[in-house]
This record gives sequence, structure tokens and C-alpha cells, in this order.
Amino acid sequence: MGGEVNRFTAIAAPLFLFAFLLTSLFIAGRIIIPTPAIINTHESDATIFFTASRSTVWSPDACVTLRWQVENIDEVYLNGEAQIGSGEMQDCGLTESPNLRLKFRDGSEQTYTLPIWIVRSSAVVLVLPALGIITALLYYRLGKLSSILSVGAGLRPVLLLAAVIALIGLFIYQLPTLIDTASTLNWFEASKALADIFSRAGMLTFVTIVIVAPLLHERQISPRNFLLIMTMGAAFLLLIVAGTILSVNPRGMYFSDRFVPHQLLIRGSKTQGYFALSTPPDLVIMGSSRAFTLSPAYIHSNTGLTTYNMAVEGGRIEDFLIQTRQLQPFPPVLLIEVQEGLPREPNDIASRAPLRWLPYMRPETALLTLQKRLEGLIDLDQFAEAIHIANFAEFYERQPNEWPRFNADGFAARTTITAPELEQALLTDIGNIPPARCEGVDEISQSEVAALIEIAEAQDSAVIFYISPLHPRYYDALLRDEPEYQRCYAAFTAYMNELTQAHDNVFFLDYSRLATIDGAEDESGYYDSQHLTEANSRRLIDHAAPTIVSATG
Amino acid sequence: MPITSYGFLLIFLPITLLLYWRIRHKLLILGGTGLLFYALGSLIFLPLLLGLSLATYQLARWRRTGLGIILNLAALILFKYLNFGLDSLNQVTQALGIPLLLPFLELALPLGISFFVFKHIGYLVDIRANRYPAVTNPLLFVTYSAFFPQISAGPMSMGDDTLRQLATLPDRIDTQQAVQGILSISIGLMKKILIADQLNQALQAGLFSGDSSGLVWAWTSVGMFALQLYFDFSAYTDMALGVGMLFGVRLPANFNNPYLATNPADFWQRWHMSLSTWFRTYLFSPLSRSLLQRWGTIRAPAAQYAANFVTMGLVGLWHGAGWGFVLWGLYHGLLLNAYAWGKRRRIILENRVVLVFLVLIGWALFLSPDLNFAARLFANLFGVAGIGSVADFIYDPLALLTAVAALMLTLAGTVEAANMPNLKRPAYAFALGVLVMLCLMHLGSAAQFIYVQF
Repeated sequence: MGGEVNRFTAIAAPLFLFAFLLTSLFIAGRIIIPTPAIINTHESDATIFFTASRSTVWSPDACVTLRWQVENIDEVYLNGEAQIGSGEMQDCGLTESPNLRLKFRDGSEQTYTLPIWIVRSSAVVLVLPALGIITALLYYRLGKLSSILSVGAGLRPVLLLAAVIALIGLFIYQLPTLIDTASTLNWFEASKALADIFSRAGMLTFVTIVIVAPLLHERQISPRNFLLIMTMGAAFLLLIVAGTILSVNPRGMYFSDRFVPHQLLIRGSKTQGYFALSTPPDLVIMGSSRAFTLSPAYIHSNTGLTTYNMAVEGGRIEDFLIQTRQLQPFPPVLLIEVQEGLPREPNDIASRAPLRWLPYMRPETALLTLQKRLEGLIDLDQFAEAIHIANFAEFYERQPNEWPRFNADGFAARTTITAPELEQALLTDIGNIPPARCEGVDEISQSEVAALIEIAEAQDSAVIFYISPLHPRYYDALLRDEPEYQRCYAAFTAYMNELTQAHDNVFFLDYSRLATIDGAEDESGYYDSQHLTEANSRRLIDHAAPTIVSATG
Repeated sequence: MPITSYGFLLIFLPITLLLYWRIRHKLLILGGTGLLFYALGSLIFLPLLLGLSLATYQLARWRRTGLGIILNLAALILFKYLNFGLDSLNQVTQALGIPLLLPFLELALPLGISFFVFKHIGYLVDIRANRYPAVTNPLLFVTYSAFFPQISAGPMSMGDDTLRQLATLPDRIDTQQAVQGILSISIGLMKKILIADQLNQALQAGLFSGDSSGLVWAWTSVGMFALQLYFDFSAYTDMALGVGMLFGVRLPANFNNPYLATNPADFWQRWHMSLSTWFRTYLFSPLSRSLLQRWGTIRAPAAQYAANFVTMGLVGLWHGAGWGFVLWGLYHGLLLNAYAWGKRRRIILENRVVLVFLVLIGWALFLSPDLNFAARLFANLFGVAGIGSVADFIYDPLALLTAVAALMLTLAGTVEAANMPNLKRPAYAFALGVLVMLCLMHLGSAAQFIYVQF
């Protein structure tokens, strides 16, 4: 009888523990990788997209981002409250699954409820995986454990084991907070939380090994085998990490385009767009996002010149030189937006430029680009970002709403902005004016300008540099708070004037103050402190048109 | 080039190792790569390192010890202490109302100057004392001086040991030692990335932000700093030792569970052991002997107290040009003297908890960027600003988790790579491989080692 019990225990106990461990791992998996809840469907001519940033809510005060986007619908109610057709909101402290009630054009109604698992008491549920993992580990180590506890080494080993278990418990207790952050749609916060989970889990593993190892008396392996297995461990994680980063490509640094990156990356697409043009343009616009809204169509109607807008996010003179080296055939005019002091950001180019730009880069930047791409393959931040993006892929496919959409001619179509939104953006920018770093005009940038002008001269083309207008209130704040700016500005305009005097094909338009264009200050014609709406861009084009036309002659 | 950079771990070290074990002229490779390593981190000061090394080598051969020591100290004073002296002098003249303001020199601190200058002085004194013969190969001495695993932050090895090893470099790699070296580098990397840097982030946000105050905040911060400093510096040492082993050179250990010490003397035999050994050998012992000769054995205790004060004051000054460091050194001199005094009177002053408390008070001086900060911190440590809220205690729950983990490792006493427990088992090997890769994934945001700035 006793033997049967033992046999039963011998079979049932491992099975029970195995099931317990499996359940625990499943729950732990859902904790660590929060999956969004999504309804993405069609109902006759209506389209419905309704999502929540997470499908499992653990702690009672956890926040969930809800987003909805419906078309061809008469009325929309989110949790009973009337809403417009698309929007986003945070719901903290969910007690029941959110629902979207829709009234269709034919008068019928339907309610869509997101499948969210709301766990009321997170502490109780978190104990389960914790107990499961610990019990399984103890079971696995039971033979060794009993030997540790019976060797008569006193209380020390027991205390150390208890401390390790308590430490793991403390980590598990903190997990819900981290998961809440990891579940938000803010990629920066979310991926940082994921990275924190990984690094803390790594730290706990390290602590456990270093503390528990001396308590066990096991046979050692040979140094060669140790090294071999250690290399396998490193290779195992490398494969997972590099594979994930390469396939998700969260920052758009590699080749895969299966997922939408979390940042706007248009250096590659703008170059491709140029080469896709059926006829080469007469004018190419280069610049940063400040030049996004310069409309090629409007320039064409104003000057008769076909135009392509090649401006890129964070564009700097090094970008423009690289782009210029690729232009084939070369346009008669380049219109280039520049900033005071010609600041350099080689790190930005190295992180954001497509690899096919490499042959056109300065050797230092090319090396930096290669270095960044290689380092990026084992970058914890990028790994966490990749998991976040893969997790929220459907969100990201709709995410670029706030980003401009680029036409075939490179023009950025942006959504309109309300007065309160502009006010908010302005206040933020005025509160965060970066300190002016004015050491005169950057010398490397000067050499790049010279190289660019030389290429244009060789092609018998003209180059028009211009400073884009800042919002008048921001500009005033800049003069008031940053006295260095004026020195910087004076040095830069003097440098530009020297260039125009030295080269017949170079022009300079100083639009740093909007009023200099036509005496009026349209304060509403901005998206923030420095990005013009199309209306203000048109005013700039109207004013620049005579110079552009004369430059072509 | 930091030793926790991709450039060092994935390019410089593997290429150097490959060359070293493939080419017969090992000393040439080691000396050349030492200078290259220094040039990559501080090219402008390469002539200083090379010049001082060659001058020390030649002066030792000519037995011009005094000149050699003066030359080395002059370089150290010029680059590290001159502005501090000028600033102190300006403050005195201002306080006395004398209209004299001495201008500062705009000089950067050469990488590792405190370490290689002390190595040179130790060597000169050894030659003078006939402890071993002067080196006759300049390449050997330059290699010793610029040995790249220890140039940035030690451990400060003694000439007789390291020079002997460099003179008889092994022809073939010892697998056991190489694996031990890799393990040591890995453990150091984990201590740095997974623990010290995480604590550093929390301290930058919590201690130096200037927003918090109170007893709880102050003790938590100083405690976390104590752990951060230990894990950061011992991580560097582990990595330096590991790199040394890969080249067949064994460098001296620097730590032996210092926070498990029971008295101040015990603490200094466990904390930054190579520096303690240097000061004991080249300053404390000769100074004690000299004072004993002058004052006689009847005043032996006074000689010991004086030697302790002078030695520890200079240990403090070695760390940095600032009164906070000097006070920290003198404070430890006071602790050592108090312990020696008690021991003479058979008063038992051995307690781990009390010692940790006393050491933490010292770290409060050490970590303070200036005396105003130190005054504020001490006011908080002794409750002048109230207890503070418990929320301050856990200003970063993740940092608290890391601090608890670091504390556990410290108490377990198994975290020195030099006496790491038996980890050569398949499961640990695999886990350590994964952890090394996790650390490499963090390298992009690794903070500079604290002791590199000294």
C-alpha cells in the first residue's frame, strides 16, 4: 500500500508541478508581454477600429489607452458617452470591459465590447506564478536542497535561500507597475519599462547564481566545456535579440519594413521618390521638417517650375550634401532651408539614413553609421522597442495619423491644428528653449556648404539658402532668454552674405522673422514654434518666387 | 577607451589577444597596445606617460631616486593639485582681505596619472632599497607603466611582482587561467552593468537632484552610494584582473568583502587593497620607523597615530583635489587611531554593524561634491532636517530592489571574482553566457567607472 502511494506520488507530483509551472508561465507570459485588445471590422459600408492598449489588466488602478476610429457611422458612444468618429483616451481603474455603441446610417445599432481580462485582485493572482516557479525550482533542486539544509552549516544557507526567494518576491510584487508602464502606447516609456524588466530579471539571475552556487556541491565541467556552453548561452540570446530587432526594425535602421517604426524616417523614401519622378524637376527643396509644407504644386503655379520637396526630418547641411551628390540629373535650382550656426548632428544621420547613402557620406559619418547599425543589433533599448512595436503593430499601422503624409512630390499633408493645440505646443517650446551653442558657424558644415556649392557650380545650377520663420512669440522669447542667439544669428548672416558675394550662383533669403516677408505676422499659421502651416508656407513662396525665377535665368 | 565599451570588448581586446598569442614578441605587443590604448583615451597625454616612464626607468638605473620622485610628483601636482592649491590660497587671501587672486591653469587630468605616478615612485623606492634590481630593458618598464588593464584605475601592482611576470611572459595560453579570466571579466561586467549602473541612475535622480531631504533619504542615499562605489570599483578590478589573466599576467586583488570587516584596520585590509599596500609599504612603514627613531619607543603610540593621520590624509588627497577627500582620509585616520587606542587598552571595538555605520559617515564626506553639500547631507544624516517621508525611502522601487540585491551579495560575501564560488557547471555556464550578452546589450548606456576620474 505504502509502495502504491509512493508510486502515485512519484508520478502525480511531477505532473501536478508541471501543470502548475505551465499555467504559471502562461500567466507570467501575459504579464511580461502585454497584448492589445483589438476590434477591426467592417459592417456594410462602415469601418470600425476599436482597440485597447492591453487585454489584461492586473492592478486596480492600471491605465488603458483606448482608441477608436470609425467611418460612415451616425453616432458613436464610448462607455455610454457620445464621441466624435475618432479619438483616443486613457481609462484608469477599469471595472468592466470598455464598449463602443454605434448607430449606423440605416438606423441600426450595435455594441462592440473589447475582450479585456480584468483581474480584480492582482496580488492574489501574482502569487500563483510566483509560487509555481518557486515550487518547481525547489522540486527540481530538492535533492540538492535537502543536502544543503542538512549539512549542519547552521542557519546561514537557509537565510540566504529565504533572502533570494524574498528578493524574487519583491520583483514579482513590482511587476504590475512595470507592466502598466509597458502597456502604454508611449513607445519610449513602454520600452524603457520592458528594458527594466529584462535587466532586473538578469540581475536576479546573477544574484541567485552567485548566492546559491556556493551552497551546492556539484561536479564541475572542464574549462573548455564551460566556455563552449557559455558561448552557446550568449549566442542564444544574441540570436533572439538580433533576430527580433532585424525583423521588427523598430527604428527603421535595417531592411525589414514589416512593421511601422516608432519614428518618422523619410530619408530613404524621399530619395526614392526623387528617382521615381517621370521627369526631373527644375527645383529641389532641401531642409528639415520646417520645409515639409513648402508645396511643389504651389511653386509650380507661381513660377512655372516643376519642383520636388526633398526635406527630411532633422535635416542638416550634411544631409543636403549627401542628397546633392545623388541628384541625377541635376536640377537648375536648389532651395535649401538652413539654421543659424549650421549645427551638425552626425549621430542623427548615422541612425536614420538608409545604408545606400553610405558611399555619399563623409568617411567619419559612414563609419559611425556602420557602428550604429552593428551596435543596434545588440541594443537592449531597440530590443524592447521591437517587442513593443510587434505587440502594438495594429496601433502603429494607424499611429502615423499625427505624422505628415507625403505626396509623390514630397509635400507633407498635415492635419489641421486647433488654437488651443497650437497654444499648448508653443508654451512647451518656449519653456524648453535649448541653450544657444554659438561658436560661430560650424567649420565642418562650412566645408560641406562649399562642397555643395561646388557641385552646383559644376552643374551650372543655383543654390538659394533661406532661414525659415519662427513663431513671433517664440522668436521674442528666444531674443529675451538667449542673448547668445543674436551673436549666433549675426555671425551666420555675415557668413551667408560672404557666400552670396563670392558666388554668383548663391542666394540668401533671411526669413527668420515672418514680418520680414510682407510685414504681417500670421501667428496662427504654425503647428508649433517653428513649423509653418501651408498658408504661411505659401506666403514664404510668394516672397521667394522672384528670387527663384531669377536664379533659373 | 572605457573597458566597458563595444570598442574595447569586441574589437580592441580580441585583436590584441590574437596578436599577442600569435606573435613571438609578446612584450612588444603588450607595450605597443598599452600605449595605443592610452592614446585612444587620452592622445594628448601620451608623451607625458611615455616621457615619465622613460625618465623613471633611466633615473632608477642611475639611482637618482630623489630626482625621479620629484619629477613624478611634479607632474602629479601640476595636473591634479595645482588648481586646488591655488583655489585654496585664493580663499585664504580673500578671507584675510588681501587683494590677490591667482589665476587657474586650464589643464585636463591625464588618464590614470595617480596610478602610473605611484607605480613609478614605488619602483624608484624599491630600487633604492635594493628590493630587486633595476630593469635593464626600457620596453619592459614602459609596458609595466602602461599595462592597459590597470592604467585607468588600477589595481596598483608592485614592481617586483608585475615586472617579474612581464619579463617572463608565457609562450602558450593556459586554458584554465584563460577561462578564469573570461569568468572574471563577465562577473565584473555584471556587477557594473546590472548593479552599479542601476544604483547610479537612482542616485543621480534621488541624491543629487537636491529635491529631497530628511533622515531616511540621507541614509538611504549614502547606503546606496556605498554599494554603488563598491560594486563599481570592484567590477573594474574584476575586469582588469580578468584581462590580465588572458595575457598570462596575474594582477593583485583589490577587494576582500570590505563591508564584512569588523574594525577600521580590517576594513583597510579589505578595501582598495593595492592602494593600502602601497601606502603601507612606501609611506606608513618608513614614516612610523622614522618617527620611532626620533621620538623613541616610549612614544610609539604617538608615532603610530601621527603616521596614521599623515598616511590617511594623503590617501584622501590621492583620491581627488578637494577638502572633502582630505577630510574623509583624516576621518579614517581618526578611526584607525581610535581602534589602535582601544586595542592598547584592551577595549573590544569589533563590530560589523558599527563599522558599517562609521564607514557610511565617511562616504558622506567622500561623495559630496563640495563642503556645502556635505554640510547639508550631514544635517540630514543626523536628523536636523527631520525624518522625511517614507516615500523618499523608496524614491525608485527598482533601485531599491537593486540595492537589496547588492546588499544580499555583499552580506553573502561571495561576489569577488577572485574567490568566486564554483560556477563551472552547465546550467550556470549557459546562464552566465545569457547574462554576458544582456550586459553587452546595455553597454551603449554604461556609465564611466567612478575611480577612472581619480
